[in-house]
Amino acid sequence: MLTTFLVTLKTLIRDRSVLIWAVAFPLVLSTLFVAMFSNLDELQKLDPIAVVIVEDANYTNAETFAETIDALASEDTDPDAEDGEPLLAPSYVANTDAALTALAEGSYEGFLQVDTESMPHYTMDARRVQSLGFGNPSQSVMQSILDRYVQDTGLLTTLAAENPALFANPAFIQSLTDGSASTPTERISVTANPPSDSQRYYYAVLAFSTIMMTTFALAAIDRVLGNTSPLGARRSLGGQSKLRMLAPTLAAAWLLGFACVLVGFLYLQLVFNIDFGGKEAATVLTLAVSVLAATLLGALLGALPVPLAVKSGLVAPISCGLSLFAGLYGPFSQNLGDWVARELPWLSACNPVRQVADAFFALYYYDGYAQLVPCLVSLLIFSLVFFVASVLIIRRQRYASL
Amino acid sequence: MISDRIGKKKVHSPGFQLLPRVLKEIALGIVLVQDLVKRYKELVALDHFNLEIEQGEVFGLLGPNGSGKTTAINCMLQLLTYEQGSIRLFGEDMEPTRYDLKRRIGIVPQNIAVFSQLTVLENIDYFCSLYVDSKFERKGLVEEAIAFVGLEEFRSFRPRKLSGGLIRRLNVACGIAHKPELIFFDEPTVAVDPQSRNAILEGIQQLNREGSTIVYTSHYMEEVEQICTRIMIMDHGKALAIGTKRELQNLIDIGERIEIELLEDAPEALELAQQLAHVVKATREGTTLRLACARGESNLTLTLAALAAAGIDYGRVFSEPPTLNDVFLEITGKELRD
Ligand SMILES: Nc1ncnc2c1ncn2[C@@H]1O[C@H](COP(=O)(O)OP(=O)(O)O)[C@@H](O)[C@H]1O
Ligand SMILES: [Mg+2]
Repeated sequence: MLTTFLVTLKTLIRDRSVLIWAVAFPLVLSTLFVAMFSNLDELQKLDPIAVVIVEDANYTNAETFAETIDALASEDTDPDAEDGEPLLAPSYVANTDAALTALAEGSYEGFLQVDTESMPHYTMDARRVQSLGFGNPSQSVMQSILDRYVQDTGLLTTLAAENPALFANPAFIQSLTDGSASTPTERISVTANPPSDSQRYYYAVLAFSTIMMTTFALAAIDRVLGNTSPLGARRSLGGQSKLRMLAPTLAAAWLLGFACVLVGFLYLQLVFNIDFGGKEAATVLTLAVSVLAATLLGALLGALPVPLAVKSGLVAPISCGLSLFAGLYGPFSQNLGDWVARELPWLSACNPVRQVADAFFALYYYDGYAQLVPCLVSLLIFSLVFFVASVLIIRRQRYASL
Repeated sequence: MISDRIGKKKVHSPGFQLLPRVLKEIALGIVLVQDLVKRYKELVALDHFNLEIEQGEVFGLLGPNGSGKTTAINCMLQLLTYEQGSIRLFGEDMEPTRYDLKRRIGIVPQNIAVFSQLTVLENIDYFCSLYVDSKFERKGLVEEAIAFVGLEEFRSFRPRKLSGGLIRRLNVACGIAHKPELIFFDEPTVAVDPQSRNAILEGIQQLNREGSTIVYTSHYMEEVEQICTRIMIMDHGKALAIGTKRELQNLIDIGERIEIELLEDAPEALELAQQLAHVVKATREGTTLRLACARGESNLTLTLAALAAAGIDYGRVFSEPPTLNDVFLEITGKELRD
């Protein structure tokens, strides 16, 4: 058993084609994708919206609105934002005509004007309206700013009319000015760490690499079968049962795969500073279980009675295909994967790559392990199914033809 | 009724069980294959094949490519399923899970079957480990095997760095390191240089002297003639003839082959030879006259006398007993080698 284990380790480590698929391929592909998509967070960050403001008498009269705009245009609007960039970049003009002229230049998103009743109106550049919908986040930002303003002033006006005493209460005034009254709900964080798209992206990369570890077991199991190669045939004729050969072979393949993803994990953590939620032990356990699923998938593929080249050729398409739904290929693939997870949860549950990615996700985003456990359980179920299926094939002793 | 049966068993089995294993094997042979039929879909690869091999033999399975030699071995070792027949090794029924029996067998397969990623030493040790558990015990066995095939200088070489002949020797070493009682050599000399070929053939004979029973398959009659104590000629999955070399030669009408080099192109020599009573078949190729003669004491003298009488001059003359190729030719009507 020990000899088989060591021999399997040696043969896999010295097998160039195995190393290419298990190590080089995921490394290159991951680096490539990381280079392409690692700036996801930046992509989604908004530049200040360039708006023109008609600074006429109505605007000056609508003091609250003017203050709101000033606040949105100042550096420290959003205390959560890391760099404190303002939401708006206003330019002021004297009247509507001047605003339209400015808009025609094309460097502004739209202009704001206040009517005689202190109600703000936003006019968008028609050329930008065409890209309405998914493409133009600034539009929806402006929309929500105005809606919120109208709502809040409406509320205060009603309050003042119905309960003027409230405004005599300094505490209430205080709460108005520090903004807490405007948010009826308390802001709490449901996740342990702030969400980030590139974070998810790195998890997909690691999940993909994990599943590529199928290569090790595939190659190793192929050499155990009696009907795929003269080498396997010879091993089958020895005085050792298939199952006694299977256990150390799988152990070696698992160990190698685990070592590889562990290196990958450290690489992501130390070089790219990827955060795994500070749960190192659980992360390593997740990697171990994921590689187990990958190894047993490899055992099953390796046990198929087809030429090695064909089986090995299956690994990359399978891993790449499943990785689509784990979000490996950028926002589109993330959204697609999320959609499938929402609409067809069982299909998502059948995707080991998705489960691995979700497991990392769970580790990072949530306190505790409640979200991690289902992922690990489903990976263990995969492992069991793959294991049973492969044992049924591998334990065969005699073949109709070689 | 039931008690009757139990009683019967009690009476008969103990005596049989008490027979020592050796006795049983001598009685039954080390290999006993009866009525083996193996099909690959429509193709019948083994057609009611029978084989009996005694302990201590170097048994040759001689047959052209595709005659079913490899298939027979793989059926015996339970790597292939078969439609019918019984296989007994060492006097016991061979089954896929008889690892105890498999441990007493060595196999040198027709196709090179070694790990290309392992060195010579690592390969031999691994295959030995399939039979011998103790690492310590293996150490000595592996060294012996390396010396046996003469790969001492190549211990730490990987197969890709070895020449074809050396790889074949490694292939042999991997099959014999555990000192098996019964060894199957499946065409071990295919595509091997003469030096390695001789090393392998001599090695096989040495293993036999050390006590191993050998089953040797080949489509080279010279090799089989050289080392085998008994030979089976097979074709189309059937045994055509079996016996010692001498016994096989006696199966056919030809007793001697004579080759005569004529000094000049003499067409009349062929006609003359064909008329001789002891000549079964005569052919002429340029100045070379080839005669197949019937069994007899004085074939050569009679032939040369006839030529001299007709005034035909000749130079060198060769005479040799019939080869296994002649035997094969006579039985099947075709040459052994394609
Ligand atoms: N896996 C197979 N599938 C179908 N036919 C086969 C297979 N292996 C061997 N055969 C056929 O069975 C016959 C015997 O083959 P084999 O035992 O390899 O002969 P030998 O070893 O004497 O050259 C041949 O006709 C060969 O074509
Ligand atoms: Mg063969």
